[in-house]
Amino acid sequence: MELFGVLVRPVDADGADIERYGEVIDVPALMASDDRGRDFCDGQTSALPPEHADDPYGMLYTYDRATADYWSGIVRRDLAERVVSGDISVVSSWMEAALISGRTAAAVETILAAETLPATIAELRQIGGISALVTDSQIQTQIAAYIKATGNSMPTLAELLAWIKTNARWS
Amino acid sequence: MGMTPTRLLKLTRIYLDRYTAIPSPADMEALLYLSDLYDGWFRDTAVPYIESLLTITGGVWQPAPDVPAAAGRFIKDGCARIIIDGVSRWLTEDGDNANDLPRIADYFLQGLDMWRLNLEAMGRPFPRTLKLTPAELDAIQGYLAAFVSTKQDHLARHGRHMRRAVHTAMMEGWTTERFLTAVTAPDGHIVGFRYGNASYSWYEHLRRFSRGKMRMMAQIAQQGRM
Repeated sequence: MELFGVLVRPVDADGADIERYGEVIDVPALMASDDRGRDFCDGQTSALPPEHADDPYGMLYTYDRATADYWSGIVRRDLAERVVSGDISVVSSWMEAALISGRTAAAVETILAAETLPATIAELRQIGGISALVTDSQIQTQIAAYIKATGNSMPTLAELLAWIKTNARWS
Repeated sequence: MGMTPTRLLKLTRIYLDRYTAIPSPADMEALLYLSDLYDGWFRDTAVPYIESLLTITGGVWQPAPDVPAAAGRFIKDGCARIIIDGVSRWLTEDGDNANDLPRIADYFLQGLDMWRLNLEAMGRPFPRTLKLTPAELDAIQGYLAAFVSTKQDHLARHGRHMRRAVHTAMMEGWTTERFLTAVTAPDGHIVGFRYGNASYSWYEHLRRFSRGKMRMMAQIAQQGRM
């Protein structure tokens, strides 16, 4: 039977550790792995919360991955909104990743909608010797992939060409 | 996935309120009181007893081969009476609850309440009343035995730790004051035993036990019904 857990904890204070907040756990996989939580002070271990005596995390269970991901999104978004509203001040890698992802998505949108895009593609074709069989759309896909992968929202032609040579299947 | 974000967040808050209320402050205080009792007994009774076995010259403990074992036995007896019996009673007596369940079962029952909230979050039918099943009562009995057995192990480790401390104190010519400093953990309470590279006091151990293990009981109950 599939069983997933979503880690949640009270976040009432600034600086609380929220790194694992909303993390989705594949319970049977965790139980089968060697990474079974940290020690209690008497040497006993617990794979599931509480991993140790002062572990603040509890877990909400569900039977399918999609629901777990949905719940995770809801609780993380709620926390992010509390941070944005100034209610609390906490940071985590997942929150930063979501911010970067949001920024890159906006950057991709801006660049692909730019009036200069056709000229940029023409220059890439000319300098990079890109075959006429490659469509503009394929080049746009590579530009978007470059921005998403690197977070660089203002790439030079040289950077884009280097990316295309390494990553585009048609190059 | 019919759960609305607002409803899920509300249920999560209720769930966390119930979970983090474990253990009740009264229950934790009752357990930590044992460590205060033991600290007092150790300083007022055990240390004078060890001193009575020793030859002390110029305030310094002199070597005597039979003393560490005798001191270890005396300390173990006192610890068994105060800490181990006390913890066993704490686990099995009625908790701060309205039913006749032992304290440990009461926390298991709180876990079933968390399971009910979990079912509600999943949009599934949930029971209005909760009763422990025979299998769950058996499981609780098993955990009870395991906890008491673990405490017996800690008692043995405490006895060895103190025997070694008395031996070192005699061989290195410590004063009573230095011995007391050596067997006092950084939190000011008497050391229970060493774990990893740290000296844990009984106080810290019991604090972690009451919080960690009682929350674990609730989580086991919740997950067990999923």
